Amino acid sequence: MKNYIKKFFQELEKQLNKVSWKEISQAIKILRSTYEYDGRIYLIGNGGSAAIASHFANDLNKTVLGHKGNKRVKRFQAVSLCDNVPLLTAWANDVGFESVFSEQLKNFAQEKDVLIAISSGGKSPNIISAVKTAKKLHLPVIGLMGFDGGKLFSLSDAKIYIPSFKYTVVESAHDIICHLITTYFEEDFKDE
Amino acid sequence: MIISQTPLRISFMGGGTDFEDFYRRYPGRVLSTTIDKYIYLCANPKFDKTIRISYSKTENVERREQIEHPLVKAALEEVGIEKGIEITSIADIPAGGTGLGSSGSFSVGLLNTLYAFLKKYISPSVLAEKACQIEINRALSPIGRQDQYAAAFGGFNIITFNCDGRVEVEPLYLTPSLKEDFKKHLLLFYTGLQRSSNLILSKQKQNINKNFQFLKKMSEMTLIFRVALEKGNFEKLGKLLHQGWLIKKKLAPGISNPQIDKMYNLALKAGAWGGKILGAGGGGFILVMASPKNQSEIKKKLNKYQLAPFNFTEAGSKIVFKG
Repeated sequence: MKNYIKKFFQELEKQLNKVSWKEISQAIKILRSTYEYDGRIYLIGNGGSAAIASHFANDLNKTVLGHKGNKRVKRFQAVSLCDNVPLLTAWANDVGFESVFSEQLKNFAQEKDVLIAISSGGKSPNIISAVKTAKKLHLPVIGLMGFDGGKLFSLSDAKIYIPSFKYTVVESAHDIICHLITTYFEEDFKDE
Repeated sequence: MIISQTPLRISFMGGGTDFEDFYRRYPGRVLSTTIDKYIYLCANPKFDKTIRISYSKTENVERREQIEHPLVKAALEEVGIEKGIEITSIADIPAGGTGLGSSGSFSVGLLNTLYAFLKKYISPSVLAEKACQIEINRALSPIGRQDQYAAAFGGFNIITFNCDGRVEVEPLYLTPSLKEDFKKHLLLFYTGLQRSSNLILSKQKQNINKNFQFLKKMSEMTLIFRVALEKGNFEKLGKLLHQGWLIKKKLAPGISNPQIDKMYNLALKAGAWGGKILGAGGGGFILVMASPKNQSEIKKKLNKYQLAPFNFTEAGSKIVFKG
């Protein structure tokens, strides 16, 4: 059992070490730029990645503020497009599941905003459709993907890519990187 | 209605190596960052099909050819707008002769606005390149190309001007604590002097051959500055700024003057490691680098001059309103 557990940790560590630090830094730069111009951050994902999207939205909206965060005036404006079940099911039912994120994006997106797309396979049709909509509206895209990167890899402006074919490993690594970015901004906002 | 927001910049190293006459012979390198001082440009269709341009003065004209502002005229030519537009510019710091790259930021912001006005989008690199074209080729300003790239990309960057004309922008990713520490070592004073950068820069441009070895050294020092910055070796950075300033002063007459020399020497005497005049020189803002413990003394010695607080930023020119 001990080795079984160790093996998982080692596998995760190995995959994290393969992630490009420059791509994560670029993602941070894009988020910071969005913040400076009061842009919004939209997050999308399916299944476990939907949970990561909503979790990361929470962290960007609140955790980065630190303990005395309630005093801070200027904040991130992160919106997980996975959370509005009535709207999501309306698009899914009336138009098709492929449209659930792209159509929500069309209500809000402006050029100073950013889209964070999380997809282990990098090829879910609803994710790719939303990314293409974002590109059409000139939003930068931060992609979190795994496996072979899929279409999301080539469409992303910051490519956070875990080259593993296991959902558990990819999703765990995505969560860790989201927490790394959260930690960065917690530190960044401390002095402002 | 379109509104764009475009940052100004502070250049630390390598100014002058971004002139074509230099980088065609040897790669030019500049290290700069954008700061939280901005130029806003606003464009709206004009109902009566004439042109109105508002900056430090207001122009009301019938046709594009009648426009006096060289950059506005050049930008409208570049994007192909002949009439029927109103353009307004507002800046956090009065434009003209500050050394914060305001004309480059103005060109980038203006082109960004005009393309958005035409419902087109262009990437930061094309935006920067086109801004250089309107300033250097159309308006014939005797300037380098660093400011346009700094304003279009935003953040800390090493900008390399290759001999074949290609420009590379490499972002320097610095941690929040390093950026905060770096900022705590910097003071920005306004000399109170406004100058025309074009006079100094044309002279500097003519002197490129004579100054070739100095400029080559400046280009190399940019790489040394980068390493020291990433290591957080602030004393070394201050001394590099000092060394750079001594070289820069020699590039053309008028970069320094008795008042600037006096301010700089007062700062050094009060414990500063180094500093420089920003931009072309002759006036505008002076940057001083010093240990935080010496800064109250420096501020006291230079209390006649206005201190400008600033923050580093990451964002390049952006359309912030489309309505």
